Amino acid sequence: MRYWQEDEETMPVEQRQVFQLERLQTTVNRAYRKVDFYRKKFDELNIKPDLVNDLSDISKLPFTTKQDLRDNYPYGMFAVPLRDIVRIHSSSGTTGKPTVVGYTRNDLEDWNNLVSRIMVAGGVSKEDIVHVSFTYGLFTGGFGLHYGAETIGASVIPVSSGNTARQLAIMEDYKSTVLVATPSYALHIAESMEKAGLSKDKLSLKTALLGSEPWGDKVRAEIEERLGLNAYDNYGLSEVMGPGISGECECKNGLHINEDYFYPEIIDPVTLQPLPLGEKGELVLTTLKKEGMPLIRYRTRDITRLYREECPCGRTLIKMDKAKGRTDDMLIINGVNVFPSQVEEALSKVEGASAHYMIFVRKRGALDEMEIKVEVNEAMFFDEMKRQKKLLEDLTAQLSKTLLIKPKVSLVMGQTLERFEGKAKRVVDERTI
Amino acid sequence: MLEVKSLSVSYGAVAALMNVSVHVAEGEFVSLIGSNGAGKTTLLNSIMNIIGHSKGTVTFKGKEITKLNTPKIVKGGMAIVPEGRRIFSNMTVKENLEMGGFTRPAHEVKEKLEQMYDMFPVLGERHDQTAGMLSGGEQQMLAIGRALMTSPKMLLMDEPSMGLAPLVIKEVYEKLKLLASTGLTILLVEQNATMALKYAQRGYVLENGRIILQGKASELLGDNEVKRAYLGKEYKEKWER
Repeated sequence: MRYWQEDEETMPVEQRQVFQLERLQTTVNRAYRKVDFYRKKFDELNIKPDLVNDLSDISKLPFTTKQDLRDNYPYGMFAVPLRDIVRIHSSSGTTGKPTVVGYTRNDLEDWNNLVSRIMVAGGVSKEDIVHVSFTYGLFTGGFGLHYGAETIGASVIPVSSGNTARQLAIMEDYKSTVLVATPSYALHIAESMEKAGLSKDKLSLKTALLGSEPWGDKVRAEIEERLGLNAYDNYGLSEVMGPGISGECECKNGLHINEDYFYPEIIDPVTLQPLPLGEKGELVLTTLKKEGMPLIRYRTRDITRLYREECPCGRTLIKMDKAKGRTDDMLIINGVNVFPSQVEEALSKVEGASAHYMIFVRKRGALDEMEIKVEVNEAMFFDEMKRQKKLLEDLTAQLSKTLLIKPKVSLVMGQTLERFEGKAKRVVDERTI
Repeated sequence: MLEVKSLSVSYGAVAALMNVSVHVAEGEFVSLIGSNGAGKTTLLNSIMNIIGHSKGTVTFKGKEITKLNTPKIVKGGMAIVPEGRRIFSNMTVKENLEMGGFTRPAHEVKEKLEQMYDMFPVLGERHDQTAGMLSGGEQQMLAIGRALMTSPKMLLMDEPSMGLAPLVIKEVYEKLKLLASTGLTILLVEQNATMALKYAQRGYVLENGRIILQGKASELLGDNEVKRAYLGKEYKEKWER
C-alpha cells in the first residue's frame, strides 16, 4: 500500500487549494460564531469573518498563541457543546497552565486517518506489529499513533514508556516490526540492547516512527544502524491535533504536511510578517476541518521552512524541513542567538563526533560561557590523545563557524551524559539574571 | 466543473450571502443544506446570474461565467430546476418540455422528447394532459425533464422535496441518482437534510448566508450539530459553561 487516502494525498495543488479556501472560510465563520475568544478578538480588531476571499488573505487574521489557550483554560476555546466532545487531551503544563484540546467524533476519525497517512508513508501496513513506546495518557503521542496504526489494521502493542528491559523482551518475543518512540528513547533502547548483549538481529524491527523532539540526520543514521531499521520523522503538536500534522515519506527528505487539514504559513517571529515560500521562520498552523477546537493561525514556535517539490513518492502535499529549534528555546550567548539545533547540525558535520551532547551555559565574569560536552567512545577517550585533540579542534572550528561564537568544547566518555526517555533536555542554562 | 469563489450577494442593505465558496467536481452530486432564509435559492440564482452579486467569481467548466447572462450560461451547459417547480400549468406536458428546449433546433427537441418519455414514463403517458393536472411528484419530474431538454452537463436543483410526500420524495431522488450515474453533475439545495445528504457525496451547511460546516455527506449526517439543527434528532440546547 503506497497511500492511505490516495485522492487527498496526490491531488493537484490547485485543486486542493479550492478545498483549502472553502475550509478556511468555514473555519473562520465557525470560530467567529461559536468561540467567544475569536468573536471578541475579531470585534476588537474590527475584522469581519468575510475578509478571507483568497488563501493569501489569511495573513489578515489574528494569531492564536499558547497563552490564549491558557487564558481560556479549560474549555473556552471549544466550538461545540461539551457533550459533542468525545475525547479530551491536554499538555503537561510544566511551563504554566495546561492547554486543553477537545475532539468531536468526526475530529477523531480525521485524526486516525491523518496518522494512518503518515504511517503508511513510512511503510507501515496492516501486516505490521506496532510497538508504541510513547507515554499514554494526556499526551497526544501515544493515543494518536496507537489509533492511527489500529485504523490501518496493524497489530498494536500499547507498551507505553519506561522499563526498557521489558520493552526489549516484548520486542523480541512479540516480534514488533515498527517502533514508535522519541528519537532519544530509540537510541536508549539501542544502548540497552547492546548492553544486554542482545543482537539487533534478534529483533524484527524494520521501521521506526520517531517524533516529539527535534533530531537530526546524524541521530537518524545512528538509530538506523544500531537497530537495523528505517527511521522516519513525524511532527505534530497537541494544541493543533497531536501527531498526524506532517511526516516523512520513504524519501526521508522533508515532512509532507497534511495541508488539506492544516494550512501552514511561515512567519518572521519578530515582525510577525509572512515569509515567502522556502524561507526559514516560525511555523504557523490553521486547522481547516477541526470541529471541536478550531485554531486560527496558531503560533507553533517551531522553526522550519516550507517548500514544494515533485516528490518521488507521488504526494503533492507541501513539505516542511525537520523542525529545527524553537523560537522560544533560543539561547542568547553574549548577544548572539544560538539554537541547540545548530549545535546538532555542527556535530553532524564533524567526523568522529557522536550525536550525544549537552549544552551548559553559565556566567564567567560578566560574559556568557557556552560549554558543549560531546561524548566520544571509550577507546578514543583513554588512548588516542592525538585523535582526541584533532577531534576537539575540528569540533571547535565547526561549532564556531555554525554558531558564530566560539564555545568551549569538552569531550566526555561515552554513556556519561544523561539519557532521556521523554523529551530530551539538552540545555542547562545556569545563568541567573 | 463548477467553482463558486467567495461570492457575496446583498438585497439592498441586507446581506444574503457572505463569502460563500462551494465547488462541484465533474460527475459529483453535492448537496447544500440550510434552513429557510439561509440563502440557498439566492446562491443558485446568482450562479445562473438570474440575480446579480456584489463580489466573487463563478467558474464553470474552467471558464469564468460571472458576467455572462443567463441564456448564455444555459447554452454553456447548465440548467436549473427552480423552487416550487414553476411549471406552466395551463400548457400540456409536451408543451412544457418543448419550452425547455426552446433554444434548441427542432430535430433535437424531438429526439430529447423521446428520451424524456423513456426516462420518465409518466410524462410520456400524459404528454397531452395539461401540466396542472399532474400530481406534485409528477410535476417535479416534469420540471426536471424540462431542465434536461437542453442536454445540460450540470443541473442545479432547488428544494426538490418541497411539498412532496416522503415516498414521492424518494422517487424523485432515485431519479436524480440515476441521472448522476449517467454523468450529470448535480448541485442541490434543500431544507430536507436527511434525503439531500443521503444521496450526495459531499455537502455544505449554509446558515445566515455563511457556510458553517462542510464535508463528506456521511460525515455531515453523523454530525451532532446537523442532527440537532436539521434532522430534528435531539432538541437544541445551549451548553452552559
